[in-house]
Amino acid sequence: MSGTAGEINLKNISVLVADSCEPAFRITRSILKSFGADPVVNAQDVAQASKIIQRGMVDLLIVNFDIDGKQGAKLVKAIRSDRRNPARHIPILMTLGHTSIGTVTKCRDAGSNMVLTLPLSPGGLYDRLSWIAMHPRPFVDQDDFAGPCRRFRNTGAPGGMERRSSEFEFNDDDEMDAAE
Amino acid sequence: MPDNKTNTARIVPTRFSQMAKQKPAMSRNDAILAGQSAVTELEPEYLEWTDGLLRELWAAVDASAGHEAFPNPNGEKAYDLANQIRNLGATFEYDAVTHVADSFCELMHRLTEARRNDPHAMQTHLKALRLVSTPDFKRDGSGDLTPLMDALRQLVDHYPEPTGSAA
Repeated sequence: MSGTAGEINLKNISVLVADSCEPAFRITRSILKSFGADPVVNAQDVAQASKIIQRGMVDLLIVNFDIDGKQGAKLVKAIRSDRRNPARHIPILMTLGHTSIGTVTKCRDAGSNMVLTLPLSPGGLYDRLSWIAMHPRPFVDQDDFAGPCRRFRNTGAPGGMERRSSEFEFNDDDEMDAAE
Repeated sequence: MPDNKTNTARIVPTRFSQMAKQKPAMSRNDAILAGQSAVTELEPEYLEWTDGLLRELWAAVDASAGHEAFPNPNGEKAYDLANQIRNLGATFEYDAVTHVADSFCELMHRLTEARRNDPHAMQTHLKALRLVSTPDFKRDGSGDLTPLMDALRQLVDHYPEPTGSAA
């Protein structure tokens, strides 16, 4: 069974990959370009990423949680909470390497649309982008949280590589604060 | 004018979602084939990347051995390097590299939380990483990893799993 939410067209989608690991960026760019995305650019640190995002030309942000000494969640939060940021509502996929307790919750609470546990696979990346495109969530704008609604039902499971509940969507309603 | 209104929730159309729904779409199977082909082209570079990262990691572990306890800058660097190695391996079907590097990261995480240093456990992980990162191992020896992973797990489990800290 495929884990896709539907077939997507990524032709000419512009992507910013915020990742300080050059090989990881090269892999992500190669896969995205094979999907049709273009341009796919890199930011090595949070400051560079913020600068590129402010230009308003990015359709999708893929950010590594560990960028700049684990500043990925902080970057996402800054984008979501800045009401003047033209890219405030762009889809954001957070990538995670080795994780510890609370990491996925941090990504969710920062305002990420989805998380993806590394290593990357073409199928895993395609599935998550498909879910982001086909299942848009209401954007919540509160004083203490801005981002895709954290309270929603997971209506199916993207497949991909290993299946871990924390890997693809935030569906842990029980521990969530009211977001609406 | 910035919108200062709070407690709102609405679907905001994005250029991404609009463009992604346009026809013709790329099927999942075609995307996987194209993506896998792109990854395969990078495999020679992957071997160079991993070799370079392993050299840096070995140097960081050697330097960290001189410290009595964690956290220390060389230990943090070793964690970052091992995490990078972890994040690349399975993309190129070096699954054992990802498993061993993940164990190394967990060891470093626990040592940091316990404020301990254990050069022997770190160096044993490094030797394992060297073994599994070769093309020969991928081709011939990646059968049953259980004994190797069990041995590494024992080294990691010597230190308690952190309960409350986040990455």
